Amino acid sequence: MTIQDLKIGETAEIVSLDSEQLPKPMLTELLELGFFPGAEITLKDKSLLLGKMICNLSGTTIALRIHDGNAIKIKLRQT
Amino acid sequence: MKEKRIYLVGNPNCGKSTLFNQLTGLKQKTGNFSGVTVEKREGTLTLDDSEWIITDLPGTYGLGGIAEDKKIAYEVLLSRKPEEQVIYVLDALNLERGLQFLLQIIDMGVPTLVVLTMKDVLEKKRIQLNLEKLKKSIGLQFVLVNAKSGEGIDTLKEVLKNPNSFQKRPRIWTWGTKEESFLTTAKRKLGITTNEAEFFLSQSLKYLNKDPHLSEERYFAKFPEETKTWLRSAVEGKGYHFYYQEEMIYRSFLIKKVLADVITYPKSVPGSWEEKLDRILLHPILGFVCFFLLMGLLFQSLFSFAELPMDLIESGIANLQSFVESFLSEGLFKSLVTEGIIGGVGSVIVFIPQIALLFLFIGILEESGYLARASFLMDRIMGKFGLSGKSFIPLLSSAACAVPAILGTRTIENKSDRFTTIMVSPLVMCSARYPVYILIVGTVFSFPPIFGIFNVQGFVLFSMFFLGMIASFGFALLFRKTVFKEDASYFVMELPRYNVPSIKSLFHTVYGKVKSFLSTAGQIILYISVLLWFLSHFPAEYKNNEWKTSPIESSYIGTIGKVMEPAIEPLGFDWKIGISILTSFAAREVMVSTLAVLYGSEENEEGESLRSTLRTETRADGSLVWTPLSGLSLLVFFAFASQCMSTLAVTKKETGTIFWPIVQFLYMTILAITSSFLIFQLGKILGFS
Repeated sequence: MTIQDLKIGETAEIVSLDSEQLPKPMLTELLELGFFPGAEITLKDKSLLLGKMICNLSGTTIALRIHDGNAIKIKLRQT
Repeated sequence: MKEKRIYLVGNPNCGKSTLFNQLTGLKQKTGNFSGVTVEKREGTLTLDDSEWIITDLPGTYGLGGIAEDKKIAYEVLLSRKPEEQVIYVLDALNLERGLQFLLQIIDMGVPTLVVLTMKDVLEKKRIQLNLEKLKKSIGLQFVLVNAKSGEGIDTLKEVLKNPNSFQKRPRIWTWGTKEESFLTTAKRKLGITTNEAEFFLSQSLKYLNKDPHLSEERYFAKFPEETKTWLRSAVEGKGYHFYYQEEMIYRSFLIKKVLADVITYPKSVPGSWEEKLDRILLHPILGFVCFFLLMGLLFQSLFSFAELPMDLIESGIANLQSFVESFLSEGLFKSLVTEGIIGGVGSVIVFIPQIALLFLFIGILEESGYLARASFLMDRIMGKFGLSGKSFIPLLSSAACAVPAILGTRTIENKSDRFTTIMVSPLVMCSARYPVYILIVGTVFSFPPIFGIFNVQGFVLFSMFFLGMIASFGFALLFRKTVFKEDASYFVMELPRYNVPSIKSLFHTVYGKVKSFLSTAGQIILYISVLLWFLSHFPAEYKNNEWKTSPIESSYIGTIGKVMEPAIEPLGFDWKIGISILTSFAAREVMVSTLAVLYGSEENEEGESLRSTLRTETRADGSLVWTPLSGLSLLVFFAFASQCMSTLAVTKKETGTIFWPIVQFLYMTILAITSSFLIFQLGKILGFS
């Protein structure tokens, strides 16, 4: 599954980033913002109208397009 | 006095620039990094008998960025002299990310001192940080400060005096077992003992592994031929994972371990005021309401609050002119100084209140954390035109002036997005078009209000603003679909914490921007004004101990105007309008003063006398020159034409080549001429005058 499939409030662990799907500068930006395998990500909010989701990644709030999220593979963390 | 050099390095929004201002006070200067176009901030700090030159490097998350300003941080660190040191600014609330970059700096073998900022926020959020343990695990000296209030700065200065405060450390994280044991073998075989050499080795290994983040040969190229051959044979086909991405992952393992030990967060409280505020400001409807209210306030302040200081400056310049006039005797020199130099430079200084206000406003929005949220809201709309929300801020700033707006595109990492934004920013209506629009609209659309309420002139002005926005979005889409189509647009952005802006850092931002506006745009306008003055007064004759200048018709510029008249007639313009268009290619607002000179009118820009002269101006066949149709044609010409030297200069500076400003000039000018031609000719066919 990808972070697109997360429900609000759910926490997951990032498994991999699909470098085929992502533009190169975006892959770099994601990595540097903390999107690497093993990182814990929580979906805070999702706005279909704006096409965007807001996540919490190790204490920082990050916004990205829902559509771009399908390149970020995750596995759900049991809480 | 001994001089030492220190670089300030750290993530964006970590308090680096605030610390820079605290350390250097007003002893700052800006320039460019040599060979590239990124702005460089440097300041000096004097302590006892030593002087430190402190350079504030652009904030970056790591050494893998491709935006020009980020690459600079990397290049500077790479090419620094061995004795040059780094103060690494670490945001205590973003330790994980900050440590990632710090570990990269340590790997490079740079002598480093860490300054931990946001002390106040840490305390407020009741986050407990065991600084002693952190120091021990990282192995560097840490100083805790509150950059905003200045707390801890004195301790930092004391620490700086001790040369042993800056320390080097061997790499503290480890690669996977396979990679690590290869590294040990390779280091032993090649006799590598220092951090720097090991850094070069690992970068070379990434190159040999064809890491998409590091395709440069330069590290590998530095090794002797023999070593290269050995490395190649030892690495190729062995399945080592020497990648930037892997490196970050291994580093994060260490960081997680360190942090688990040193930091304790209080239980998170959902529903904090920050979350509540976000729920409103990022709401698809309420968010836009707040956004438009804020933008309304911004424009209101730009065009009304700035009026008083602008009037004061205008009258100040007029006073200066008459003061200087009373000292100089009649003649060419007097005319050059008062009309050419003071008049020319004055026309730029008048815009300072607007520019300062704009930057103050944008500075407040940025520091408070709102600007990132505005980009978030606008991203959907911008996305329709092939751009991302990050392009919104520069386009918004263009409403005041395209020059600082283009400088503001540096935050856009995606090169295609950035270049597109640079190319279309000048289409947005800027403040320099205002005096021109007001003159034209006031001259040709002087109708009474429709139904006694709707003001036609106001409506035309608003339409012009709308036209500029539509044109810039349309051309953005065109550029994105044709020349800048690699790297699809994307949006990923940190939403920073809300913050109360610091007055000191706002002051520094506004002061810096105004200064750089004056030195770039101001100079060009000075040269052009002097040139214009010369072209409109010469050829001159020296007779009876006095210079006799030509009347405007037979001056150089008058001659040029007569020559070009047949070419601009199909657009509805006569030779005098032609000259004013020509002069306004340097800067749009010059048009009004040129017309005033051509018609010998002494009145000010909005003076009724220039307008009434224009209204009665006729062509050779007796028809009126200034009609609603020719006025409309002229308005559209001014909306689209690339009439601003400063913009072209800054486009050259930011794109690093002369090619893009030429394209920008040509596409805008062709667009302007074609639109004007179509409007005038179609209008005539339809029977308008």
